[in-house]
Amino acid sequence: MPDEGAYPLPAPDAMRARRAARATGLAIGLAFVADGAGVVLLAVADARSRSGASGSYLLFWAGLALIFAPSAGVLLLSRCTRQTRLGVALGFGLALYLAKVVYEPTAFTFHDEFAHYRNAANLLSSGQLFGYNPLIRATGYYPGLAVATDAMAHLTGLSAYTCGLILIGCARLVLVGALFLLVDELLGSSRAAGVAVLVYAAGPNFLYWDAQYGYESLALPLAVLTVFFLARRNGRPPSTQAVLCSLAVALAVVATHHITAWVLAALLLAWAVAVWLRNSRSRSRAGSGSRSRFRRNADGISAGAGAAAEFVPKLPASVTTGAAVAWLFVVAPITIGYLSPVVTRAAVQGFQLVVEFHTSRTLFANTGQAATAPEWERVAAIAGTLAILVSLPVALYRSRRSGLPAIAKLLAWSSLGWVALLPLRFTAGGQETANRSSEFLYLGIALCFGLLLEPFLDASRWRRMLALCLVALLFVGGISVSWNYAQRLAPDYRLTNGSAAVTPDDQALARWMLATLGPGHRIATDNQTGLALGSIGRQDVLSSAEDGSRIWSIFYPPTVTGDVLAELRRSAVQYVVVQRDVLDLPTGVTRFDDSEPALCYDSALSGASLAKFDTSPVFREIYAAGSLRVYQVADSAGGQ
Amino acid sequence: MTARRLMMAREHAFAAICSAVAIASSSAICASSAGLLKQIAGLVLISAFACAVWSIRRDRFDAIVPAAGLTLSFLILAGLALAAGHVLSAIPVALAVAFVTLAAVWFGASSPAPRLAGRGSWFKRPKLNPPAAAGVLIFAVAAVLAVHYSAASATTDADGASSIAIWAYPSGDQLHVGVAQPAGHRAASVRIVVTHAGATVATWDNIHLAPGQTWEAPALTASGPGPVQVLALHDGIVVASVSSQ
Repeated sequence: MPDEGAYPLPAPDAMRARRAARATGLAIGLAFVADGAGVVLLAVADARSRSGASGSYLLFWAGLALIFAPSAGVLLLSRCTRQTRLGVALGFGLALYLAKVVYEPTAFTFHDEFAHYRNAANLLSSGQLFGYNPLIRATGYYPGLAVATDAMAHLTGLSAYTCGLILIGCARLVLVGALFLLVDELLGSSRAAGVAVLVYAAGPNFLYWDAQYGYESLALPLAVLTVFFLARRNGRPPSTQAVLCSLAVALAVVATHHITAWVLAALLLAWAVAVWLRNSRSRSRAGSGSRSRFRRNADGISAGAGAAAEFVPKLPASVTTGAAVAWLFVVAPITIGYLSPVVTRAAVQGFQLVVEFHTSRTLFANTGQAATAPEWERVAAIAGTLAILVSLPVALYRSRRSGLPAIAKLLAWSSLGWVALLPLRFTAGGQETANRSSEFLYLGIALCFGLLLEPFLDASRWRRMLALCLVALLFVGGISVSWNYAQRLAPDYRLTNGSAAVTPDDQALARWMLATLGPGHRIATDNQTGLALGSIGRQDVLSSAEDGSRIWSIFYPPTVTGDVLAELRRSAVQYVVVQRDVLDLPTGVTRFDDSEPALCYDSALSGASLAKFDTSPVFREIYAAGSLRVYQVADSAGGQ
Repeated sequence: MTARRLMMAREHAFAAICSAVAIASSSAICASSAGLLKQIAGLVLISAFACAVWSIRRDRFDAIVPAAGLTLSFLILAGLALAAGHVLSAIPVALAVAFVTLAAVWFGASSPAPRLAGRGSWFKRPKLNPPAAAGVLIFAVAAVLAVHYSAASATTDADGASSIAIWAYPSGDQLHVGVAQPAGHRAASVRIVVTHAGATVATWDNIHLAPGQTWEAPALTASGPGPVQVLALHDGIVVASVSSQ
């Protein structure tokens, strides 16, 4: 029997602390194990989807549930430390990023990824900044992502694809971590920060869009980090080092993505103006000898009239705004022409919606198509939206009463922008604007839910469960609208229409053209084939948006008419690449370019329209694989 | 006093080791054109840079987030400056210089002795929580397995969905002919026949195409009018063809 005198028993407090530490460790460990299991399930779901096996849809949701539920449990229900919550939040964010990686782990396959890959390839091959990008020209003038990718490629010798995956993965960690730390700093609660991370992850663009290899995926995390460097609870000024760090990060944002830079500049400016006004009002009130020298805010923090003024981010606001404006007008004036049609279309259709109640889009479907998502997903999405609409006023009311710093209030009120843009989802032109703005506006929504649910998490078990259910509803609703239902899992290329996705044959052709014919040839083709040729093949594919070409006028006529020859000459076409699967596309969707007239795409495309290239002496067939044909345009056509 | 001196010596040694790692990694990257050594050295250098930024606030776990963000920003800003001067390939040197500077700043900042004994010391023994560490490890292993499995599945699917490719493109007076068998297809023997204006100008029998293999014919001279046709036949059946008028 051990001698208790010789081995003194640990004090009850120490034992309790040790037990709590063990429980905390177990909670984190289980959350990470569940994250890992969730990623494995998602990988299996994608693999089954690729091979056409059943059950992939169930596995997809099971994987997401495994990632979400344990992390949400730790973040919302447990009494873990701040560091524990941050660790779990980072694991949660990384696991959701891996959901995109296992979707296609061998190549970039999302539309914008091809354009950004072209930028990186341009810089790697030529060493020149601002190289021509035929897919989205404006992206070439924001080279932050390409430069970071190529810098890493030079450092490691890894491919641009692998470097891109690593970079965006790091950016995802920064986004989740910076959001957690920002909300923790502003609201003074790591539980609220956990809520904010979960709600932000419920945004429709978190799962796939902001995990893709795109400039916004890199810029947005850095923008949140900039605000974190400057924001302090009760408006205290940050240290000089923090201000310097924020300036460096903000400049990186300016060189990386236009809209993120503008949003960051606008936020910092609004913050500076709001605090300046508030400080001036406080000073004038103090000068007039206000009767109440002290007031007590809702958080119980006393703020004297003569108390230290809140920090005004004059320097970061002016530097960021100046740099963003200078970059726009000196380096990238093309951005105005790139974005203005999108904004104009959204404004016009939004106006029509308000004035004439004219809708041009079915919810939960691509433009011109019927909704395919299951009923329960649509119900969850609508319920999630309603939950946000009901919760926001309550949260904003709370934010008014609590003594939050100006930046917290600004972020909270910015969530109303999401409400204002919500009707645009009923319009074909405005849907993109409403959707693309959500990754910014969800920051405010996340903060609002942190503010709203934080008191719940300290209350009875059923109230905590209620908070968990609400966040789970938002998450399910967000995933339901995150990506078109039909494309949410990896495609089975054996069944894929070659004109609806970039196929392995497209990629093989792009590599062959680059190796055999060299880069920079002017090519007329359909949208999807053009993505492969314009990125992997580094060819100058034609498009109406980027160089005014009317590609459709080459493809639609059933014979080689004068108009066809005129367009070949006008656009200096050297090669025509035909994807014969385009014949199987349904009517009502554009086949070659977004600019083609409805008269063309509203009727079936005749086989003769594509067969004419085989019989005309103007074209010489030089390559064939599956449904792809490449034709060299003869000198006599004046195309070269 | 002795303990403090020991601590200072350790911290100085740490800064020196950091700088040595940076310089060695950078040299390895610059010396090796490609390969595993370059990959490892490059990743070590970037990770070490992030750790060096983190070490400025090493007492706080959450400083890892700004450290990662600042490393990304450094890659963008330094990369932009170097790319503007067409010397982006000098990024290993720039990173090493920044790293050594950071180490020097860190060395300078950590010199005042009183801070060393504080809770912010780098050498404070970290409290490892075994279940948490095991969870993180399992997550990492599961993630690697999932990505590997998914990559294998995607490659198999893409290979299976690829088609045999055939080409015949002119370059000056010469015609270049070739065939490529996708990796997902079985090995096959094909016969290639080239005709010009209806007359056979070249034939290759029993060309063995292994999965993923490309075969190219010697350049042919093909001038004069008339259609050119190239056929790939397997057991007398045309499996691919190109033809021009």
